[in-house]
Parts: sequence; C-alpha cells; structure tokens
Amino acid sequence: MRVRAEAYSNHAAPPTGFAPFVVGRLVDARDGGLWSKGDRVLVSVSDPKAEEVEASSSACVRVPDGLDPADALLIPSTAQALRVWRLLRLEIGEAAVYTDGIRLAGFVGFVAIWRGGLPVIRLTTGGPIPDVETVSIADAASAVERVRSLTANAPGLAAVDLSGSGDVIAMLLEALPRWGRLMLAAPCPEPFTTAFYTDIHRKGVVVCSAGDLDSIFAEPLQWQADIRNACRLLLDAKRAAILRDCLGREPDACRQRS
Amino acid sequence: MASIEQVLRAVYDRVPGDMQPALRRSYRWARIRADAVRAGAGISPCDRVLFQDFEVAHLEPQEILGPAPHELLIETHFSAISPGTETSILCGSPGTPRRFPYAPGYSGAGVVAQVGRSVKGFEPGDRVAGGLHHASRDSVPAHVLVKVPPEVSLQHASFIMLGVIAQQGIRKAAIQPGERVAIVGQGLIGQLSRRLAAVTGPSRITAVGAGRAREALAVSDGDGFVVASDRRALDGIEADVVIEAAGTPDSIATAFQCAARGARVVIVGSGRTLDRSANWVGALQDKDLRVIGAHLTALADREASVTRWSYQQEATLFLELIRRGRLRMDDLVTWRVEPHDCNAVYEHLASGHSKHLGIVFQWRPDEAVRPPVAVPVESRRGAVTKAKTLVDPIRLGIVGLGSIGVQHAREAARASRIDVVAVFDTNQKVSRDLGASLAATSYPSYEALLDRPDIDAVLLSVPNYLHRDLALQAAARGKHVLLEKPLAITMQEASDIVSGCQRHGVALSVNFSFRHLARVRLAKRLIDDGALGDITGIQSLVYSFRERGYWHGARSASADDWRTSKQKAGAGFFFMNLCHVIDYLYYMTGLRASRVYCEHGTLGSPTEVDDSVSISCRFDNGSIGSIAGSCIRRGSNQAEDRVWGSHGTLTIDDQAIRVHSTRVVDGRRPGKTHKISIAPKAGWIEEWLNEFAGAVREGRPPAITGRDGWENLAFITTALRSMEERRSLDVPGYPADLA
Repeated sequence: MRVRAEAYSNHAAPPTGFAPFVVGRLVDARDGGLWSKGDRVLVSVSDPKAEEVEASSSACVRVPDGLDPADALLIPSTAQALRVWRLLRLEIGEAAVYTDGIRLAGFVGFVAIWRGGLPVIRLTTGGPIPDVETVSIADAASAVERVRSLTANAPGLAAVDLSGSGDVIAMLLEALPRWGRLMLAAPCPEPFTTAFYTDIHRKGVVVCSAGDLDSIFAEPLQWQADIRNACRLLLDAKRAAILRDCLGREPDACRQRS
Repeated sequence: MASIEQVLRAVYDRVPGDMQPALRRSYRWARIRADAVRAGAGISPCDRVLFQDFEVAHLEPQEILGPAPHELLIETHFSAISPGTETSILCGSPGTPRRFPYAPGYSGAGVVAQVGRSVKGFEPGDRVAGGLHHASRDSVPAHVLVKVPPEVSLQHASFIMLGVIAQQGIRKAAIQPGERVAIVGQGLIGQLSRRLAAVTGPSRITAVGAGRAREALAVSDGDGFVVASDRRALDGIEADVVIEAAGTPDSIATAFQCAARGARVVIVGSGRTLDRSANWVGALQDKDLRVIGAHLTALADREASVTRWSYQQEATLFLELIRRGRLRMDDLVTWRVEPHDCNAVYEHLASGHSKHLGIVFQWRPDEAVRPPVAVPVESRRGAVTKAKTLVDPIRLGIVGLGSIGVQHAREAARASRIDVVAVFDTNQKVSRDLGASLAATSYPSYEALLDRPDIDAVLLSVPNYLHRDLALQAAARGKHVLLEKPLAITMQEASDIVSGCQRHGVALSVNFSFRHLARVRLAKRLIDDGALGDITGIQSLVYSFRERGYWHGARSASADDWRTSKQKAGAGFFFMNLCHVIDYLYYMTGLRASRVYCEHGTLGSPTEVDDSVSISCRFDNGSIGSIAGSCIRRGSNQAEDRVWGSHGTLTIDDQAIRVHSTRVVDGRRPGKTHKISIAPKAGWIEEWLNEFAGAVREGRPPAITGRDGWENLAFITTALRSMEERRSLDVPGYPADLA
C-alpha cells in the first residue's frame, strides 16, 4: 500500500520511543484487505519527510477522518499511556504515581487523572503541573515521606517509573504501601540496591514491566483497544489540547531510551 | 419452650385490633427501659419517620437507647431519601420487607453526640455521614460512619450511601479513558453514576431516560441523551460500558440494547420482578456481553485489597470527590423538606410521578446549608505544590458582606477560577468570621483592601448608592470590577462607572447572572436556532413576597434600612427582581426596548420605593411586550416568561420550557407543544464569576458588560420617569462615546 503523508513525527525533539511515523491517506490499497483508497492511517516509516511511503497493510493504524493530522501524531503516546494504567489496573480513587522520564510522562499523568486517580503524583525535578501533586526528588528521604503522606488515605496505589533511574525506582519501592503495584517502563542500565524483603516481599508488592511499549506499529492488532480509546480522547478538542501542551511542557528526558 | 417474646407476641395477636397500638407503645416503653438498665445506657427522645402501613408514612416521637460500646449516638442534620428503595418498600414491591411499622432511611449526616466506650477515632462534635435512619437521633455502629471533611456540607454528605451505591458500580465497570459509557435510568442513582463515570475519562456518556424530564441535566454536563423508547437511538449508542441504574422491569433489556459487542453491563439498579424469559441469555451471547452485579451488600466488610474496596473506603472517596469539586451535588438536591411533612413526601413518591431527584429531610433548622469552601492550595516545605485548576484563577476581594455579599462570597469560594483572598465589610465581625471561613484576609477598610497589590478584581455587593464611588475607586487602583446589580441609581452614575473602567483599562461586569440559569440558556438557544422565527411578542410575570423585615435588612448580619430609601436604593422591585427579567429578555431575544410606559406603586411595603410594577413597551424590531410583577403577593413565588414569534411560542418557568414551533426544534415534531424540563437552579453566580475570571485572564470583555448594565438602567429609569410624566417615553440608546 502507498500512503501520502499529511504530517510526520518530529524527531528533532527528545526521544519518543518510536521509529519515525507519519499520518497520511492511502493512495493505493491494492493489497490492503480491509483497507480502501482514501483511508487515513498512521504508519511507521524510515524517512518521515518523504511525500509518499510504502507500507504493509498489517502495520497500518487506522485514524478517524475527523481527527486533525497533527493530533493523530499523538495517538501512539496516548495509547501507550492508556496501556500503562490499564495494565496496572488503576481504579477511581487510587493513588497514581509516575516519574519524569521519556516524553510519555505528561501523557501518563493526564490519563491517570482521567481514569480517576486520586491523588495523581509526579516525582520530578521540575515545577508544578495543573491538577497533579508534584514531589521533588531532590531529597530521596523527604520525597518518600511526602509520597507516603499524600497517599496515606488512598486504598490502593499504582506507580510507573518512566525514568529508568535506579535511585528513583528504589525511592518508589520504598514509598509503595502494602499491595502497591509498580510498573518499570524504562530500561535501567545502572545497578541499584533493592530491599526485596522489606519493600517487595513483606508488602506484597507487584512489580511488572510495560511489555513492549513500542510495538504499536509492529503489532497494531494487540493495541486495538488502546488505539481506539486514544483516538476517541483526541477527538475531544479540550483533551487534545491538554495532550498537545504536554509535549511542550516536558523537561528533557532523565534518560535516553536505548 | 417458648421465649417471653413469643408469648407476648401470641398475646398481642389475640387482643382486639383497636387495642394493639396502645399495647405496642406500652411494650416498647417497658422494653427500652429494661434494655437501658441491662446495658447501663441512657435513653434519648427522638423523632423518627415510620412507615405505618403500605403508603402511610408518619413522623413519630420515639425513645432510643444511648450508644452501645461499638456505637455512636448521632444528632442527625440531614437524611437523604433513597427514592427507589424506599418507594418500593412503601408500596410493597416484590422482594421488599412487608412488616410495619418500618423505619426507612439509610443515608444521612450529622454530628456525634455520644461515643460508645469501645469506639476509637471519633469524638463528640465530629461531623459524620453514613447509614442513618430518617430520625432526629440515631445510635449506629461506628463502622458505618465516616468523618465529613469541613469543606463538604452535611446536606451533600447525607447522600453518602447513595453515592457509594453508584460508586461501587462504576468501580466494577472498570471504565477505560476513551470508552463510551451509557447510563440507563436518570433518577438519583443514575445521575450520580453519570457524574462518577465522568471522573474516569470516557470519551462519551449517553444518558438513557424514560422520558425527556432529565435531558437538560445531562446536556448541561455535555452528555448525550436518548429516550429509552427510541429503540433505534438505543442501537446507535454502542457503549463499551453500560450502567443499569433504573431498576425497572425493562431496564436490563434496555441496557443490553445500548451495549456494543463485548461490552460490560453493570447492574446497579435491577428491577425486583422475576424474569421468566431466556431472552437475555441470547442477547448476552449474541453480543458477547459481560454482566456484572453490583449491589451495596457486595462490598467487602472491612478489609480492602487491590480490587475490593470496603464501604469505609468508598464512602471516604465519595466525600473526597465532592471536596475536590470533581463531583457536583448542588443541583441534585431538588427538595429539602421538614420531617413532619414526610407523609406528603412519600405520598408524592408513591404516586410514581415525582420529578424530584434528591430529597432530603432537614432535622435541624439551625443547620444552614453550608456550601463547600475553597480547598487551600498546598505548599509545604517548598517541595510540594498543587495547582488549583488548569487556568490560573484571579484573586478576588469581596466588599460588602450583607446577605447577598455572603452568598456571593460562598459562590466565589466554590468557583474554580476564583481565589478569594480578601474580604471587607463595615461590620468587622462579619468580615473577620467570613474571612476565616474562606481562608481570606479580612481588611479593616476598603482602602486597605485596595492597597493589596496582588488583588486582580473586587466584587462589590454594597448598597446601590455606593456603587459609583466604590467602583471608580477600584478602577483607579487597576482592579477589575464586579458589581451587584443595578449598575447604578442614575444614568449619570452609570456612565461615570463605565467610562471610568474604560479609562483605567479594567473589566466591568454587573451581576445579571440569571443569564446562566439553565432555563435562560436553553431559551436563548432555541430562539437563536429559529424556533420562534421573528419575535413579535414578549410577556413576563414575576411575583414574590418580601416580608417587612426584608426592607430593613433582616436577612443580613448587618441590618440596614437603605432599601427603604429612594435616595439610597433608587428603586425597589425594579432593582430587586425586574432588572434580572429585563436583562435576560434582552439577552435571550437580542432585542432592546425602544419605548416604554409604566405604572408602579408602593402598595404594601414599609418603603419609599416601588413594590408593584406594570410596564408596557415596544422593542426595536417593532414587537410589543409587557412586564408585570410585585413583591407583595402572598403565596408561592411565580415567574413566567412568554416569548412568541412568526413560527412559534416559548413559555418559560422555573421547572420547564414549553416550546411550540412550526419548525423542527431539536428533532421534535413541529406543530405540537413540547415540554422540556429544566435542571434546578444551581451555581449561576459561580458561573458568572468563572466567566468573568476567564475573560480577565484571556484579555477579552466579559460576557456581561457595563453596557448591559447601562442599557438595563436606561430601561428602568425611563420606565420610572414615564409614570411621573404620565406618557410613554423613548428609551435612550447606548451612547457612542461609551461604546
């Protein structure tokens, strides 16, 4: 299939975790099965600035016609954020904790708010963020104490580390209450000390990985529900604006994704 | 061997029926005293609502034991009626208890009076909410109660059990952001479910109602609405999650029909009749649905796990959502009643035609309905900050704290784009008390308040004759100005205020907040959409009764009789109510009066100003109107507006808009009169303030401007003058030099 590009991802900015991708319309859907000429798609490419690109039908993600092409570029990050909290089963009224890190962070924060996370807390080196409690990680001990006090009344807590920093992960493990859930969503190349007995075993903590968050284009079928919900969120002008803002607000990544 | 209870029961069943009540009372009297001696507890009198028989409710004096070791004795302030459950029991629906007398009520809020000796964590005076009967006092186990945060009113907190019912259904639905949700049933549980669902980020919520009575509530929240009888529309909903909150025999089928393939259907309501068909099995299999039962009793008793929340945790979260403004309750309370009216309340519910949503019994007349105060922004140790909203709020100083000023202050405290930082009133005690309750600084003088550099705007709720000077003072200090209506007393003062604000580059708005009432907004939209065609006639009636004390400031903490003075007030009923009517008629229709004649008089009030008014006028498009009203008419208040044109008629009152049009209006059949119910009045001043704050932050004029205030005053002053001159007069247009 051939796709005529309408918008492409900006890779001059800090890393997104994805190969370059474009939003465009099918100009040729001969081997496309369910696809038709004119369908709008999101597809991973090697050269995002090319006017027309070849794409396999199984690697295309369908984009609703009503969605602005620029907003369609936010689908992968939004779907990733949805997937993170879906896998962690964050419930209305549970505390949601996330960290600085890959550009996904802002998306993760707002999706937690939209799921009813209460409170939503960001461990950060940056400043305040609307509707999110921010906790400075400058001093680990006080950060842990603060997270504990903010979440003391929450019946459950789900956390996601986007930083890949051993210090931050250790901080999260220490702050987790009984039955807390922690997702490690970024690679962590450096060694760090983990108190398995006190921080995981005794507390019944569940630690999981995010799986392959970058497999949207490789396995779009497995991402169907998250992509569908991401598209619906982005069709809402207010939410789309918030997510667009997120990109501009993110500080540099704590750690580059490998 | 028979117990003493069984023997007494056998005796009781054998005595003549007319002796049974006296016997019952004697038995209770003796029994409670015996229990008190055994438990070492005291006895307290209380009033309790009892169902005496099918469809018979009565308030009865009773005695209750003091708290057992694990119990608390609560002085109830509010108890909320659970319309579905209580009406089912009252009417003897299947599956309900059928023994009388029955003590209804399971959701209320009050204050702890006594603490059982084994109870930890509660003290006398604590504000609590939980499983309380409809009774002025109740002894209940501590584990069914939670403390109410100070920012949440006890009235709102009294809905706690109903909130938990809805909330545990939402939890079991596990809504993912972006999913589509349908709520079947638009009663109280349906409304709570709809609002709680919104907290979980769905891309679309569709409310499904039996009729269109609750459409406006859903639409005002930005949700869709479908009538359950419209089967085609139900098919189009395709919801990923359906919450069944109707509890009617056909609601499960309706819920299935709304569902998309693979959807979750959560049964929160559930009819009480048996279903003897297997139709639902086929429907479930065809669509691969998952049906999830969600009754309050399915909650865990004590311990919580990741996926099973206890009652205590759900209840605490419910109050927290209210506290944080993520769950709005104001407009759900549509009827607050005295307990001695319980018979009428339940008769109304039993009729099956109740239009009320949230009904509460108010047990303590002294407990004012306390609106939530602002949640203070946290800022501890410099490490943690929390932004209040997405938009930077404006910092407001409130000046004048009479009855209207206090109401404004509380609305402002609730407004998401307003940060009340300062208050001032010449009555310093009132000023200090309100300042403390709002976490705002109370100032000893107006000038001192204006000296504070970080105040963006002032809200002036002061007597009419002070508007000009205080507004100009604020403008000169670079403060934006919000003024209680009217803009001023004279046209010269009005022009001075408008030009002064323009000169100093500050925004000006007048409290014509009735524009934000649901009925006014809907009427405007219908007119804008062409339902009436070209407007040819307008008629408004507004009647109320103001007691004599009103004129002397009896409703204010700082009584003052400025309202009685023509010099200080300028006008009476005109400025009290009619100015709102004139403003929203202007707003709805876009018309302005060009000529006016008025008769007015002071016929029943201790005042120099008007209390009765009748006006004839012509509008700038040639249409003819009349506006009449009085504040000395005894009986219930009445307000009705009629606007008609070449293609239709609107009749507007507090409860509903009736629209008759030759055109298709919102998909309604032309040539018929359609009734559209209106959401109860709530939050209109808050919306006015939020809109103004948005305008200031975005650097645009507010929706209600000084020009609106000027034109309103031009109408009124011309009307007043027309009677003095005994002739109709042209209403002056807005001067070009002020435009």
